[in-house]
Amino acid sequence: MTYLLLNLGFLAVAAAAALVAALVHRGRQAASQRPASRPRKVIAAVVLSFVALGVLTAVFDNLMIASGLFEYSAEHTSGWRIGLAPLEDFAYVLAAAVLLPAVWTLLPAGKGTRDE
Amino acid sequence: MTGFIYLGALLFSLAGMVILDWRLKLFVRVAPLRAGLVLLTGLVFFLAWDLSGIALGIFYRGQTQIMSGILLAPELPLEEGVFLLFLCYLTMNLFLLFSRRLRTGSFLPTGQAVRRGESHGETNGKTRGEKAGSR
Repeated sequence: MTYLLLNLGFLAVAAAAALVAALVHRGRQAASQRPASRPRKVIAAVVLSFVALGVLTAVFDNLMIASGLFEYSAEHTSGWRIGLAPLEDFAYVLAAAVLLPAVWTLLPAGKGTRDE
Repeated sequence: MTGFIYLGALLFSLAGMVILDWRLKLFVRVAPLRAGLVLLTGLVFFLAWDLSGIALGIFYRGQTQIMSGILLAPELPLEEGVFLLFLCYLTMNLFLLFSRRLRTGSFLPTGQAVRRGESHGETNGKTRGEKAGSR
């Protein structure tokens, strides 16, 4: 259970960043006169990224664990696994798919960069 | 030499991300500072996550011959830092590729000829002073 609780903490940080990014993005759109970009497309891109990362994790986390790169303490994991990979490991890619696009959106687009 | 198998595999994969980024003009190529800050944030975030997991005794370094043995912190190998950097780069490449596909209907950057694998000297439309050719 410890691993799951730890993950919830970091996922909460990622979710908070995404919320702030969404609000800032909306504020920017309101300030500029340009037609609003569709937040739905950003969400879809995040979901698609997470799905792709999840498939890759299912494959490569298994390979990495099988190679003995790292090990897990049994008392701290839920015991739910996909192959060798603890289900909790998928929280990493979920957080990556939520947090990083949020940070990207929060940072001002430099010249020559089209805004997402 | 076997101690560098994992690090070598990670660097090989990371190089793939850079090539994808450069060819398709996705991330660091179009906004180096903005992209660098995203990668730095991701690295700090995930290292904090790893270190918390290690401190709580959730996971630890395996006994294996394919890692260099260089540690960033107790139970945190150098390779994990490179892995996290790769993960962040991969995530952003995917996100920007999917965003572009949803926005423009194509994975290719605007102004790039549709046919790939050809040395096209001309780019349609956009006269933005292409300096890097068609790489």
